[in-house]
Amino acid sequence: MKKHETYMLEVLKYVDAPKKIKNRILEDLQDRIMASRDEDPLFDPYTVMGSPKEVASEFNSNLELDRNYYGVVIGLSGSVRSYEYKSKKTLFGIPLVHINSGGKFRNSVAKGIIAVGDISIGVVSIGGLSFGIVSMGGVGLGLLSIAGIAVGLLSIGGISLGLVSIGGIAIGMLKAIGALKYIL
Amino acid sequence: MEDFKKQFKKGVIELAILKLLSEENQYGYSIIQQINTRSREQLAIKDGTLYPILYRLEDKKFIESYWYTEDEGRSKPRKYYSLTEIGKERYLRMLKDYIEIEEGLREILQSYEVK
Repeated sequence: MKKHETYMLEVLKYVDAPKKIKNRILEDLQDRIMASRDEDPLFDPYTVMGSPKEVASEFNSNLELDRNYYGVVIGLSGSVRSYEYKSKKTLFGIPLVHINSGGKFRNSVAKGIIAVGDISIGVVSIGGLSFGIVSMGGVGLGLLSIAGIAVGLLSIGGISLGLVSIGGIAIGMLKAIGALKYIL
Repeated sequence: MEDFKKQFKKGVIELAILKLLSEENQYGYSIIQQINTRSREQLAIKDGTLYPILYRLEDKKFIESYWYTEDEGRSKPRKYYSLTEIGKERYLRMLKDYIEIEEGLREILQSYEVK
Protein backbone atom coordinates (compact mmCIF):
# COMPACT_ATOMS: atom_id res chain seq x y z
CA MET A 1 0.00 0.00 0.00
CA LYS A 2 2.85 2.34 0.87
CA LYS A 3 4.32 1.76 -2.56
CA HIS A 4 1.07 2.92 -4.16
CA GLU A 5 0.92 6.03 -2.01
CA THR A 6 4.51 6.86 -2.90
CA TYR A 7 3.62 6.37 -6.56
CA MET A 8 0.64 8.72 -6.39
CA LEU A 9 2.58 11.40 -4.53
CA GLU A 10 5.35 11.14 -7.10
CA VAL A 11 2.84 11.65 -9.91
CA LEU A 12 1.42 14.70 -8.17
CA LYS A 13 4.91 16.10 -7.67
CA TYR A 14 5.27 16.38 -11.43
CA VAL A 15 1.74 17.60 -12.20
CA ASP A 16 1.65 21.33 -12.88
CA ALA A 17 -1.78 22.23 -11.60
CA PRO A 18 -3.44 24.08 -8.75
CA LYS A 19 -3.91 22.21 -5.46
CA LYS A 20 -7.64 21.77 -6.09
CA ILE A 21 -7.00 19.85 -9.31
CA LYS A 22 -4.17 17.87 -7.71
CA ASN A 23 -6.59 16.75 -4.99
CA ARG A 24 -9.04 15.67 -7.67
CA ILE A 25 -6.31 13.69 -9.42
CA LEU A 26 -5.22 12.10 -6.15
CA GLU A 27 -8.78 11.01 -5.42
CA ASP A 28 -9.12 9.43 -8.86
CA LEU A 29 -5.69 7.78 -8.80
CA GLN A 30 -6.52 6.24 -5.41
CA ASP A 31 -9.77 4.89 -6.82
CA ARG A 32 -8.12 3.68 -10.02
CA ILE A 33 -5.27 1.89 -8.25
CA MET A 34 -7.68 0.31 -5.81
CA ALA A 35 -9.82 -0.98 -8.69
CA SER A 36 -6.73 -2.54 -10.26
CA ARG A 37 -5.73 -4.08 -6.95
CA ASP A 38 -9.18 -5.65 -6.66
CA GLU A 39 -8.40 -7.51 -9.87
CA ASP A 40 -4.76 -8.19 -9.14
CA PRO A 41 -3.49 -7.95 -5.56
CA LEU A 42 0.06 -7.77 -6.91
CA PHE A 43 -0.79 -4.82 -9.17
CA ASP A 44 2.28 -2.68 -9.78
CA PRO A 45 1.46 0.85 -10.99
CA TYR A 46 5.02 1.43 -12.17
CA THR A 47 4.79 -1.36 -14.77
CA VAL A 48 1.11 -1.04 -15.72
CA MET A 49 0.51 2.73 -15.62
CA GLY A 50 4.02 3.90 -16.41
CA SER A 51 6.53 5.95 -14.49
CA PRO A 52 5.14 8.81 -12.35
CA LYS A 53 6.84 11.28 -14.70
CA GLU A 54 5.11 9.76 -17.74
CA VAL A 55 1.70 9.74 -16.05
CA ALA A 56 2.14 13.32 -14.87
CA SER A 57 3.26 14.42 -18.32
CA GLU A 58 0.09 12.87 -19.81
CA PHE A 59 -2.01 14.78 -17.27
CA ASN A 60 -0.11 18.01 -17.96
CA SER A 61 -0.70 17.82 -21.69
CA ASN A 62 -4.42 17.06 -21.31
CA LEU A 63 -5.47 19.29 -18.44
CA GLU A 64 -5.73 22.34 -20.72
CA LEU A 65 -5.17 24.75 -17.88
CA ASP A 66 -5.16 28.43 -18.52
CA ARG A 67 -1.46 29.11 -18.29
CA ASN A 68 -1.95 32.82 -18.73
CA TYR A 69 -1.96 34.40 -15.34
CA TYR A 70 -3.60 37.78 -15.25
CA GLY A 71 -3.00 38.63 -11.60
CA VAL A 72 0.07 40.09 -9.99
CA VAL A 73 2.69 37.54 -9.10
CA ILE A 74 5.19 38.70 -6.57
CA GLY A 75 6.66 35.25 -6.21
CA LEU A 76 10.16 33.98 -5.97
CA SER A 77 9.88 31.19 -8.49
CA GLY A 78 9.60 31.29 -12.26
CA SER A 79 8.57 27.64 -12.35
CA VAL A 80 4.92 26.67 -12.71
CA ARG A 81 5.43 24.12 -9.95
CA SER A 82 4.72 25.05 -6.38
CA TYR A 83 7.07 24.13 -3.57
CA GLU A 84 6.53 23.90 0.15
CA TYR A 85 8.74 22.79 3.00
CA LYS A 86 7.77 22.97 6.63
CA SER A 87 10.22 21.83 9.28
CA LYS A 88 8.96 19.38 11.86
CA LYS A 89 10.69 21.39 14.57
CA THR A 90 8.52 24.15 15.97
CA LEU A 91 8.97 26.98 18.41
CA PHE A 92 5.84 28.13 20.25
CA GLY A 93 3.84 26.10 17.77
CA ILE A 94 5.35 27.93 14.81
CA PRO A 95 7.52 25.99 12.34
CA LEU A 96 11.19 26.75 12.69
CA VAL A 97 11.51 26.94 8.90
CA HIS A 98 8.71 27.37 6.42
CA ILE A 99 9.42 27.73 2.72
CA ASN A 100 6.38 28.22 0.52
CA SER A 101 6.32 29.24 -3.10
CA GLY A 102 3.18 28.98 -5.22
CA GLY A 103 5.13 28.94 -8.46
CA LYS A 104 4.54 31.08 -11.50
CA PHE A 105 0.77 31.43 -11.20
CA ARG A 106 0.07 31.78 -7.50
CA ASN A 107 1.30 33.56 -4.42
CA SER A 108 1.76 31.45 -1.32
CA VAL A 109 2.35 32.59 2.22
CA ALA A 110 5.19 31.27 4.37
CA LYS A 111 4.82 31.59 8.13
CA GLY A 112 7.68 30.49 10.34
CA ILE A 113 10.49 31.58 12.63
CA ILE A 114 12.48 31.60 9.41
CA ALA A 115 10.02 32.18 6.58
CA VAL A 116 10.83 32.17 2.90
CA GLY A 117 7.99 32.65 0.44
CA ASP A 118 6.18 34.71 -2.10
CA ILE A 119 4.71 36.43 0.92
CA SER A 120 6.62 35.74 4.12
CA ILE A 121 5.84 36.36 7.75
CA GLY A 122 8.47 35.43 10.33
CA VAL A 123 11.19 36.46 12.74
CA VAL A 124 13.58 36.26 9.82
CA SER A 125 11.45 36.80 6.78
CA ILE A 126 12.57 36.57 3.17
CA GLY A 127 10.08 37.04 0.39
CA GLY A 128 8.57 39.04 -2.41
CA LEU A 129 6.53 40.73 0.27
CA SER A 130 8.12 40.18 3.67
CA PHE A 131 7.04 40.99 7.19
CA GLY A 132 9.26 40.23 10.17
CA ILE A 133 11.71 41.30 12.83
CA VAL A 134 14.33 41.02 10.12
CA SER A 135 12.74 41.24 6.72
CA MET A 136 14.39 40.96 3.36
CA GLY A 137 12.93 40.94 -0.12
CA GLY A 138 11.10 42.98 -2.72
CA VAL A 139 9.00 44.92 -0.28
CA GLY A 140 10.01 44.51 3.35
CA LEU A 141 8.42 45.62 6.58
CA GLY A 142 10.27 44.94 9.81
CA LEU A 143 12.40 46.19 12.65
CA LEU A 144 15.39 45.68 10.39
CA SER A 145 14.27 45.80 6.83
CA ILE A 146 16.51 45.24 3.83
CA ALA A 147 14.47 45.36 0.64
CA GLY A 148 13.75 47.04 -2.66
CA ILE A 149 11.21 49.10 -0.80
CA ALA A 150 12.09 48.87 2.88
CA VAL A 151 10.05 50.10 5.79
CA GLY A 152 11.39 49.61 9.31
CA LEU A 153 13.11 51.01 12.38
CA LEU A 154 16.34 50.50 10.51
CA SER A 155 15.58 50.29 6.84
CA ILE A 156 18.03 49.71 4.02
CA GLY A 157 16.83 49.64 0.44
CA GLY A 158 16.27 51.22 -2.91
CA ILE A 159 13.54 53.26 -1.31
CA SER A 160 13.75 53.19 2.45
CA LEU A 161 11.54 54.62 5.13
CA GLY A 162 12.32 54.33 8.82
CA LEU A 163 13.68 55.80 12.02
CA VAL A 164 17.09 55.35 10.49
CA SER A 165 17.05 54.77 6.79
CA ILE A 166 19.74 54.12 4.23
CA GLY A 167 18.95 53.94 0.57
CA GLY A 168 18.79 55.40 -2.89
CA ILE A 169 15.85 57.40 -1.70
CA ALA A 170 15.98 57.53 2.07
CA ILE A 171 13.34 59.00 4.31
CA GLY A 172 14.27 58.87 7.99
CA MET A 173 12.89 60.22 11.21
CA LEU A 174 16.24 60.32 13.05
CA LYS A 175 18.70 59.82 10.28
CA ALA A 176 18.62 59.37 6.54
CA ILE A 177 21.60 58.41 4.41
CA GLY A 178 21.20 58.25 0.67
CA ALA A 179 21.41 59.87 -2.72
CA LEU A 180 18.11 61.55 -2.04
CA LYS A 181 17.52 61.95 1.66
CA TYR A 182 14.85 63.51 3.70
CA ILE A 183 14.58 63.75 7.46
CA LEU A 184 11.06 64.02 8.81
CA MET B 1 1.36 10.13 -38.93
CA GLU B 2 1.54 9.48 -35.22
CA ASP B 3 0.53 13.10 -34.68
CA PHE B 4 -2.55 12.67 -36.91
CA LYS B 5 -3.67 9.63 -34.95
CA LYS B 6 -3.10 11.41 -31.67
CA GLN B 7 -5.11 14.46 -32.72
CA PHE B 8 -7.88 12.34 -34.21
CA LYS B 9 -8.09 10.21 -31.07
CA LYS B 10 -8.25 13.31 -28.95
CA GLY B 11 -11.26 14.48 -30.90
CA VAL B 12 -13.24 11.26 -30.75
CA ILE B 13 -12.37 9.96 -27.30
CA GLU B 14 -14.93 12.23 -25.64
CA LEU B 15 -17.60 10.73 -27.87
CA ALA B 16 -16.48 7.22 -26.88
CA ILE B 17 -16.63 8.11 -23.18
CA LEU B 18 -20.11 9.61 -23.51
CA LYS B 19 -21.25 6.53 -25.42
CA LEU B 20 -20.01 4.19 -22.68
CA LEU B 21 -21.67 6.29 -19.99
CA SER B 22 -24.90 6.33 -21.99
CA GLU B 23 -24.94 2.54 -21.66
CA GLU B 24 -24.25 2.41 -17.94
CA ASN B 25 -22.66 4.28 -15.08
CA GLN B 26 -18.98 3.43 -14.82
CA TYR B 27 -15.89 4.05 -12.71
CA GLY B 28 -12.72 5.44 -14.24
CA TYR B 29 -10.74 2.23 -14.55
CA SER B 30 -13.69 0.46 -16.13
CA ILE B 31 -13.94 3.20 -18.78
CA ILE B 32 -10.25 2.74 -19.61
CA GLN B 33 -10.67 -1.03 -19.88
CA GLN B 34 -13.79 -0.82 -22.04
CA ILE B 35 -12.31 1.73 -24.42
CA ASN B 36 -9.18 -0.35 -24.78
CA THR B 37 -10.92 -3.68 -25.37
CA ARG B 38 -13.92 -2.52 -27.38
CA SER B 39 -11.76 -0.45 -29.74
CA ARG B 40 -9.31 -3.37 -30.04
CA GLU B 41 -6.65 -1.07 -28.57
CA GLN B 42 -7.08 1.41 -31.44
CA LEU B 43 -8.36 4.09 -29.08
CA ALA B 44 -6.35 2.86 -26.08
CA ILE B 45 -6.11 5.61 -23.48
CA LYS B 46 -4.17 6.16 -20.31
CA ASP B 47 -5.20 7.63 -16.99
CA GLY B 48 -3.63 10.98 -17.80
CA THR B 49 -5.90 11.27 -20.83
CA LEU B 50 -9.13 9.95 -19.34
CA TYR B 51 -9.35 11.91 -16.11
CA PRO B 52 -8.79 15.40 -17.56
CA ILE B 53 -11.61 14.68 -20.05
CA LEU B 54 -13.84 13.50 -17.21
CA TYR B 55 -13.02 16.69 -15.26
CA ARG B 56 -13.99 18.87 -18.22
CA LEU B 57 -17.22 16.96 -18.78
CA GLU B 58 -18.05 17.13 -15.08
CA ASP B 59 -17.27 20.85 -14.86
CA LYS B 60 -19.59 21.46 -17.80
CA LYS B 61 -22.27 19.31 -16.07
CA PHE B 62 -22.38 16.75 -18.86
CA ILE B 63 -21.54 14.03 -16.38
CA GLU B 64 -21.62 13.73 -12.60
CA SER B 65 -19.76 11.57 -10.13
CA TYR B 66 -20.83 9.76 -7.01
CA TRP B 67 -19.37 7.25 -4.60
CA TYR B 68 -20.95 3.83 -4.42
CA THR B 69 -20.09 0.67 -2.51
CA GLU B 70 -20.77 -2.21 -4.84
CA ASP B 71 -18.93 -4.87 -2.91
CA GLU B 72 -19.46 -4.91 0.85
CA GLY B 73 -16.05 -6.51 1.29
CA ARG B 74 -14.35 -3.47 -0.23
CA SER B 75 -12.99 -1.04 2.30
CA LYS B 76 -13.70 2.02 0.17
CA PRO B 77 -16.53 2.90 -2.21
CA ARG B 78 -15.87 3.39 -5.91
CA LYS B 79 -16.22 6.67 -7.75
CA TYR B 80 -18.78 6.25 -10.49
CA TYR B 81 -19.54 8.60 -13.35
CA SER B 82 -22.99 8.99 -14.88
CA LEU B 83 -24.42 10.95 -17.79
CA THR B 84 -26.67 13.91 -16.98
CA GLU B 85 -29.64 14.97 -19.10
CA ILE B 86 -27.62 17.67 -20.86
CA GLY B 87 -24.83 15.10 -21.22
CA LYS B 88 -27.22 12.82 -23.09
CA GLU B 89 -28.13 15.69 -25.39
CA ARG B 90 -24.46 16.44 -25.96
CA TYR B 91 -23.77 12.80 -26.73
CA LEU B 92 -26.55 12.62 -29.33
CA ARG B 93 -25.44 15.88 -30.92
CA MET B 94 -21.80 14.73 -31.06
CA LEU B 95 -22.86 11.39 -32.49
CA LYS B 96 -24.88 13.11 -35.22
CA ASP B 97 -21.96 15.43 -36.02
CA TYR B 98 -19.55 12.53 -36.10
CA ILE B 99 -21.73 10.47 -38.46
CA GLU B 100 -22.09 13.46 -40.82
CA ILE B 101 -18.34 14.11 -40.82
CA GLU B 102 -17.56 10.42 -41.25
CA GLU B 103 -19.98 10.15 -44.19
CA GLY B 104 -18.57 13.26 -45.82
CA LEU B 105 -15.01 12.09 -45.40
CA ARG B 106 -15.87 8.62 -46.72
CA GLU B 107 -17.36 10.21 -49.83
CA ILE B 108 -14.12 12.07 -50.47
CA LEU B 109 -11.88 9.11 -49.77
CA GLN B 110 -13.90 6.72 -51.94
CA SER B 111 -14.39 9.03 -54.90
CA TYR B 112 -10.74 9.55 -55.70
CA GLU B 113 -7.97 7.08 -56.10
CA VAL B 114 -4.48 7.84 -54.93
CA LYS B 115 -2.27 8.31 -57.96
